[in-house]
Amino acid sequence: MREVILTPKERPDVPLEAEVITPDEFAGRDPEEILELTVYEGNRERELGDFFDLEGRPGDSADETRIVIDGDVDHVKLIGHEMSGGEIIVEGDVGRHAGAQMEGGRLVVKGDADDWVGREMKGGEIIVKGDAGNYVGATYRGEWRGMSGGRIVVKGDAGDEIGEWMSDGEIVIEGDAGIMIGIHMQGGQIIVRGSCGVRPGAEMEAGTIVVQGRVEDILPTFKYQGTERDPVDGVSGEFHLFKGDYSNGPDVKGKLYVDAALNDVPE
Amino acid sequence: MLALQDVGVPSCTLGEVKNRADTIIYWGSNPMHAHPRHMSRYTTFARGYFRPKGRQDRTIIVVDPRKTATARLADVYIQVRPHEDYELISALRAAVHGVEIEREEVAGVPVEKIYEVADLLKEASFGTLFWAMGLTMSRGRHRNIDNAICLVRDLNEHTKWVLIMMRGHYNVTGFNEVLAWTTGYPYAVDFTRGYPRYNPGETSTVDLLTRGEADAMMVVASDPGAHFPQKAVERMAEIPLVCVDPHWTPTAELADVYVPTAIAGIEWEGTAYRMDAVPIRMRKVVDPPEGLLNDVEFLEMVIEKVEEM
Amino acid sequence: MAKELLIKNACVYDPLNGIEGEVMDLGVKDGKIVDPSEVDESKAKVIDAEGRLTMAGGVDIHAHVAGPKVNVGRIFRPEDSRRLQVALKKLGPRSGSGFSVPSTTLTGYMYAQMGYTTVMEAATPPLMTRHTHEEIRDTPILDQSAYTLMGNNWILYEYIREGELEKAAAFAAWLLRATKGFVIKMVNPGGTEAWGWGKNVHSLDDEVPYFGLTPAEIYQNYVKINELLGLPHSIHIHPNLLGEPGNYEITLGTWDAVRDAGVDPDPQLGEREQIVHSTHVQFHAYGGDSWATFESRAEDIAKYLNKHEEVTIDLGAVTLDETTTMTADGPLEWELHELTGFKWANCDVEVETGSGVVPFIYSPKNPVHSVQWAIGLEIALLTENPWQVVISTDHPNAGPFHRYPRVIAWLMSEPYREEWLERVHDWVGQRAVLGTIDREYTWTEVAITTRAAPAKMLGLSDRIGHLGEGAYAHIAIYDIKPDEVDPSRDYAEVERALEQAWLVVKDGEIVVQDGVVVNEVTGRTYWVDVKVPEDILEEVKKDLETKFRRYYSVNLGNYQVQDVYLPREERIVIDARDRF
Repeated sequence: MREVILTPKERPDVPLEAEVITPDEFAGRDPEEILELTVYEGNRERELGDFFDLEGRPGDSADETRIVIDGDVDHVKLIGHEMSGGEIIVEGDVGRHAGAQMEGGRLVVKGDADDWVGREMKGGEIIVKGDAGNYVGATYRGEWRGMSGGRIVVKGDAGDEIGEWMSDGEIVIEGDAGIMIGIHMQGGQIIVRGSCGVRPGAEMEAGTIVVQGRVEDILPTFKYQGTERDPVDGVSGEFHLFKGDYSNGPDVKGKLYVDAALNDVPE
Repeated sequence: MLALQDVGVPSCTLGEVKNRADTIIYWGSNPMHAHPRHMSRYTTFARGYFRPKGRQDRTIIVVDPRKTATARLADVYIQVRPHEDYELISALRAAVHGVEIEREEVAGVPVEKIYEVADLLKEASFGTLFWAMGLTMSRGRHRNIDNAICLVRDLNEHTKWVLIMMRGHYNVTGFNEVLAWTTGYPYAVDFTRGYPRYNPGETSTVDLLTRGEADAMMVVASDPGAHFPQKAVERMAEIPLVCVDPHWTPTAELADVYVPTAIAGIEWEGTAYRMDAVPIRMRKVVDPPEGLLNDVEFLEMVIEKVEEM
Repeated sequence: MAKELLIKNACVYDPLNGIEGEVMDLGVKDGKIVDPSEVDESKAKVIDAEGRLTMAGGVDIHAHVAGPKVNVGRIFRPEDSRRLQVALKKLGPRSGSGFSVPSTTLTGYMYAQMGYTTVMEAATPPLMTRHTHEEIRDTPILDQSAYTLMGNNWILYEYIREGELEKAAAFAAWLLRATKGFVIKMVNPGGTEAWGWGKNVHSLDDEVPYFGLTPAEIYQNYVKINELLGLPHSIHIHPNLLGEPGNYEITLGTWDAVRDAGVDPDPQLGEREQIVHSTHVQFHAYGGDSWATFESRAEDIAKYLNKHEEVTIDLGAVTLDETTTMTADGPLEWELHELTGFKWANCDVEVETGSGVVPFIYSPKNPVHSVQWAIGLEIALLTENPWQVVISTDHPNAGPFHRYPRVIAWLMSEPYREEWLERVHDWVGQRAVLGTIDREYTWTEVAITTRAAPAKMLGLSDRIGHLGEGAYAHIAIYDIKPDEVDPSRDYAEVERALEQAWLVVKDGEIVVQDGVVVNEVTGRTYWVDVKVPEDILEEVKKDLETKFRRYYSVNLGNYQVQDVYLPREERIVIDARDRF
């Protein structure tokens, strides 16, 4: 694998949109060509080189290309958009929509990730070592086909409505998560190692949510099924199992596991 | 908007309610105060084609944390604990589906009462749910509407139900309609890339302001200075701000340039869309003060100048 | 811009004037077609078409492009708008978005790109028609009209129930004027009213709840009203039970019922031969009694059409895309929601009609969708007389209008159909006959089914749908030379050429060059102003005062669409006073 190192320089007043920062776009191009790729600063078309210095060379294909961003790019949106392979490593924070519609490869964010990280993800892996914002692995407005594959791991905390409309794949939050995680979930798995806010699994049809900490409140439309030990891979201990969300009718298949020691069964 | 984009929106015009509705819910809305003529014109007291006796032919249900003036008129009043509307809607949906709710009460409402109400809703021949800001300001925001829409949708498996949002601000529906047909999106449209894009939470005004992503602002016939969060208003004060409005408002107070315009529907004609999206011709009643432009004339002059630049 | 145009060496297909692929010159002066000798070549803009395919501007007789339910489609499907976002200066001066429900600007641009210049909005709820006209006004280039939904109107039902046919006709004329409408449109008569109670009608003899009328009686009275008024177009119907397995029977029964009314086509304007136009017939040509036994009945439909020239149709051909369904057929959209689980929008409109909108994904892997795809093409190919057929996708219900070039290419090429037969589900081989049909449309047949026939059916063939002297100068020239291309073999070439016209002229002005909109002219809005006997109209107006107060949520005085909503109206005056 060959490596390209991007170092942020000028910081614009308005956010940049840089969906060209992917192994797919970089692969097979000369460094000069990469620096000429179009990014958008508000309503102005600019070049990647206006905002980044570049070292190294990409590989011939996405799979053979690693992009290292050496600094904070919390003002840059859409990094890793639709990437199919290779690797992106962000040494600092990253802006909104990182890894959106990602199909393969690996995106590592060493700082925090802003909202919509891994939106509509299809495959690959995203690791956020800091915190993530709202809508981790969620979908686009009006779109009922959400995250359908891949894996997102957030080492810190995450915000609200993570895994909205997800149908497959896995989201792991090592810290706490916000409210209404897994809303409209159709499949796949969400694990929260810390605590989460109200209404996990709201309007879910299928899929699995595991909360290893405390849940602020469980919806009255989840039915208690008893306790279960070690419910999914990598999660051990005793859990209360609920099924739901029965607001959607009697045929729902969603599973909500919450730590038995930390949570009461509501009456 | 976000809710109906997720799960749809079964609705109707107000005359349908007048002619057919035998069961009406007001959820988080208090028309007795907010829309004083609404209940006598279109709903509760109105006589309609299939409801010749008006009030006697209709069952009125009010859901609200407070016993409002509208609640005092209701046949059934449900006092929901603040911020637990979502839970109550979920429970009602489960009850409509005939699923057992394994709790004694939800959102402060005994489960037996939830089942009674669910039966009442299923027995309606034409039901209408009206909801207002009370529901969107409650915890979960647009997800409360999402769930309420699902309740109404589910009820259509048993009988006829529709819902209408009680929108307060004048012609906000018209703005959504016009923007949708001209750009494809109903609000929060971003043109920075030369084509329309849309992602509320990112391209919406409050978010652009609070995140410092907008470096200039023009406000037409709206008063964000009075209604937006503090942080957004602070940004408005920092950047160049133009306010186009018939009235001197808190936004005008903050503005670098204020342009007074004629009042649409009084000093100028035009089209306004009712809360049920019925377009109404607004007539000119009096002449505007001399020299005052209407907002269309003003904006056309601005466009002309921009094109010269 | 030059007022005169001289187009040289155009390979013209103009069936209304009997021209089949003749290389000739066309003259344009003051927005109309003239004899080339009348054009002053020294002043005119001269264009050498070099033998390219040339036809009159296309005419879409049935599409959902403007109005409240179309806009609901835009509002509640941002994920559809996201699929096609067009920047300014790409297709034309302005930007827009929307794949299956494009914004108004994009709608005008994309139709014009394909050489279409007239597009009729197929359904407007009267109470909300101001909205429809606002969108029409904001749609560049195209001439349009709004079809006024009347099939579930209480006031018409009441007059008919009371045996007051003349009053019903006078009211229909009043409603056309009030809405600035062009056509009496009927959608699932009785069924949409029943949907007010969450119900539907299931046969032609099923009584509409509380109104004591059956769909059969409704059709028969409406066709009488239409011919009494002498409207340019016939009644335009969307029969009951759209999309249900086995519905071909009610479709044929409906046509029989209309014919049983015993009226002949009697337009005051135009030369139409039909008494009924049955729209998106693909959706009404199904056999079987469940989805498991679903099959094509296109042969039965075509056989009927081949015997009865008084019935015309448009296809509603399925294009196998993800799209958005939208119709005034309220109960149908609920069924589609139940079938797919996709989000559902509905809007019932007091006294008049209803509507619903649901996304839909037609997949070539799905057996039923595959058979639906076959049915649309089968009807086009099995109906012998192309003058009874109009190509449509019931945009956006069976597919977006910008797939017309593909539908045309399928009809012109058996090999292209074969290629798709390989891709679709094998039910098509078992439950449809498409694979056995070798007919291929000619350029003349394409010109008939996309221009000449719809213009004639609409009663507007004196001004559109052809290139004879006096016609509006709506001209589409495509970058394909009929004498060099074999559409059967070069179907990809056909599809590409029809997608992006080489040159489009609208009212004498060049609006599209090399597939890009270069000039946004304002389109005209057709509507019919029918004069009926004063005494009957006065009685109706008196009735309306009471009925409006009792039934409506708006005042009678605020109901009628003001002239200001039609910046370029084309009022067609029909004097029906002596016909009562």
